[in-house]
Amino acid sequence: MTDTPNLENKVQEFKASFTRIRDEMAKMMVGQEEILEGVLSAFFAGGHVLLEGVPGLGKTMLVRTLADAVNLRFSRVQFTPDLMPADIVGTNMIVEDEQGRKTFQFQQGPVFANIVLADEINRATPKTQSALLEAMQEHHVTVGGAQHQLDQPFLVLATQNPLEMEGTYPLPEAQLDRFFFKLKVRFPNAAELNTIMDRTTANERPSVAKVLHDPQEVMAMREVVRQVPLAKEVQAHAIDLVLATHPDNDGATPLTKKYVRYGASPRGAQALILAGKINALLDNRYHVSKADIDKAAPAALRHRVILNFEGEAEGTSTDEVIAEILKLKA
Amino acid sequence: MALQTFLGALARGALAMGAVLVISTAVFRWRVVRFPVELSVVAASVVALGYAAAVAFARRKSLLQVAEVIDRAGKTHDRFLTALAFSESNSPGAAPSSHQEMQRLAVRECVEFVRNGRFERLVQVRWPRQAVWLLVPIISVMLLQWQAQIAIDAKEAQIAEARSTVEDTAKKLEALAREAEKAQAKTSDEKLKRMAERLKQGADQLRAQAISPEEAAKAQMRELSALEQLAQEMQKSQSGATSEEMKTLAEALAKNEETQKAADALKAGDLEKAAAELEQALKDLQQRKDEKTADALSKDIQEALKQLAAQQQLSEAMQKLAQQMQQSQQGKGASSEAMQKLAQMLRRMQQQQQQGQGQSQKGGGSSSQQSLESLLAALQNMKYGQGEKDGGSKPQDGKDGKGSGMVAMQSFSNEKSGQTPGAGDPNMPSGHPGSEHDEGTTDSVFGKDRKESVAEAQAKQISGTAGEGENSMQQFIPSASDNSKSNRRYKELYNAMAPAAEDAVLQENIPLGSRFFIKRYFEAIRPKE
Repeated sequence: MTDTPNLENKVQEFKASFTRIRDEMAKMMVGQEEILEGVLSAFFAGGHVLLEGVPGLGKTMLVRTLADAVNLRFSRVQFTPDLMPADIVGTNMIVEDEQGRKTFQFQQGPVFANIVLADEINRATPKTQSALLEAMQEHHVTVGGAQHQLDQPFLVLATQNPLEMEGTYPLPEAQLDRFFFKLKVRFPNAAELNTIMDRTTANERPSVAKVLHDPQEVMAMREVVRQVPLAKEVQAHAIDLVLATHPDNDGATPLTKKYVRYGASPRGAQALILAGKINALLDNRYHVSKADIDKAAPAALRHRVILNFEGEAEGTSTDEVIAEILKLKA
Repeated sequence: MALQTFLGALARGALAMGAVLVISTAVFRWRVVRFPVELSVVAASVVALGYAAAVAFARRKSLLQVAEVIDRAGKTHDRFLTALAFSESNSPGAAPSSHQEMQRLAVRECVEFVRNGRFERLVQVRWPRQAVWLLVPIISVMLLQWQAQIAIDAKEAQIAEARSTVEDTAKKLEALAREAEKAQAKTSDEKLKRMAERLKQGADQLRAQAISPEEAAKAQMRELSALEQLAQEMQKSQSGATSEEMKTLAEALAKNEETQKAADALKAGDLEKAAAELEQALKDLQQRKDEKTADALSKDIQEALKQLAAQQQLSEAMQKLAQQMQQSQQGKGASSEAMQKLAQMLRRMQQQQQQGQGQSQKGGGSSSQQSLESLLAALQNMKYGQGEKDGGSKPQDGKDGKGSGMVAMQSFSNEKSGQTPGAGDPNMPSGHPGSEHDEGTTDSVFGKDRKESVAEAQAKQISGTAGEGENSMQQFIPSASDNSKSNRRYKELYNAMAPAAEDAVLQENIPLGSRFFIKRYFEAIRPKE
């Protein structure tokens, strides 16, 4: 019982920090509260985020703002077809020391940062895309037989343009599954655009305050998130949602049976629960409810559900499938 | 939760039973039968309660399920469910870990939330929404019952009226049954016993079938027709003189030497020979002109016949013979006529035996025959008396048939077989199709009352002395007078009888080929407009 006040404080600190970071980011990102909350949830859950949206919506600004707010190292990689894996993870270079001896020295790539922006990730070849797989999942890279640990926390924010599909390489399912959330950045409305214009065309630009100062604070906050309990029934609900995305499962919904080729992986259930925990904390609760799970479901499952040819031809989106699942499993 | 489930199931069960009640009430209303509302409602309630209890038991929920339901209804973010789950998983003696600490925090938060919240309305037992629809079957049953009550009252009044219509006939049938039982007690005749039972049964059926005045009239006619037919069949089986009658007659004839041979033949059962001997004795008597012997012979025969008539064991033929002989005696006629008549009767009896009409007679058969004739007469009297709308003519009691004329009047089987019944024949129903005198003047549908008819017939009796040879005869004409016309028009009689005839036709499985003739027959007897 002695830990209880401390734990309560941690929870309160988490919520306060989370809210402050969000507010700071909101200064730069107008009208994208869901995106901000999603990115932060994934960040504190230890996952990565795939942002999908047309160019010019402030995706790079979002990532940079986040790095500024949490005081973490930020790097940006513009993915192009000729980008090589070594351009991302780094390479061994011959270095001549003072005595004239030449040795191989590992030159870190842009992946060695706390927050990595993989801009237009679908423009790179699958070989280059897969260079991120190890870093995203294992939090280390292997170059020349040597394993190099990445700094913690590590967050990859990848973006892709849904319109220009020519000359792109869609991310394979294995890589998509590595992303905690897939967030769709919507185009701002008139009011939001007005605000954006006001903030970006004047002399005074808003400054982002540093909310966190040490990466360890982020790790501590991640620890708090994982301590949030959930009842077995709530966990069963998350599993039900994931199973409902599988067309060959008994609990599959009609749309799933008709349009889905592959359902969500267990990582989907993990993402649901972790995001649900953060949602519970943000709601001043110490337990996860089904509503928390449901709230995280679209972002956590939409990129993990693969539509079949009929679904693609019909123009059905995975969001429709998930919406039906949430409706029927409520 | 269980109570709410029970109430919901109760409402659904009550609705289903209400529908059944409405259908049942409608069926009973259609059949105009009193519907046992109280019993049915109790039964329906029991069924609905049983159904609700079964459903509540089958759908009983665990605590977790109840918590889930409350969470969903109260939008509590699964606080009840979480609190319940964590309170069960946290064992009191276990060392507190950070995870358990977080669980305790969660439980504490849930408890505070529940304390501050107002969830009474979530667990409040509510009246099922379907309950309001119960008004539909309730009102429907009430309306149907109200309408059925009106219809039943009307039907009961109709039945009461019909019962009162047939009650008189039923009582008379019962009286006849008692008479038949009395006669059966004297004669031990099984046929009379059966007849008595059939009469009682007929009375009961008459009361049971009296559901409307029309049906009562039909049933009345039907029963009486059936009983009449039964009596006629029984009577046919007992036609002819009995052995006792023969014995008595033989003893009377044996007292005189001239008829001794005829008596012997009669005792031997040889009716042909007895008739021949009687004719021979008659010839001898006429040749001798022995007045003393003739008188003695006549007295002996007359005495024997009177004795038989007094014992009520005399057949119709015997009665007529005694009557004729009595008249002959009064008119100082020769006893030869009586003997001749007796011989003729014996010959006719012989013919009947030869035709097989005479069946073996039991002891007391004559009495049974008379009882049956009396019953038949009473039944016919009742039957045709029913045709009168006012019912003013009192049916004649079969008991009154004793004595001369009464029974014979009612019977169609008489000695004039072979004669064509004409208008005014008291033994035939008046208003026969084709009758030219179908104007209706008599009190009975059979013509004039038998006594009156006989009295008139006696007044017109042709009597005389037998002439020489065999052509000397005395003929008794039991015809009605010229005024013996039915007081009911044929059309009325037809209308009264038509339902019974129609019933009889409908009850029969008539072949297709015969329907045309039956139709033509009924068209032929239909009165002209």
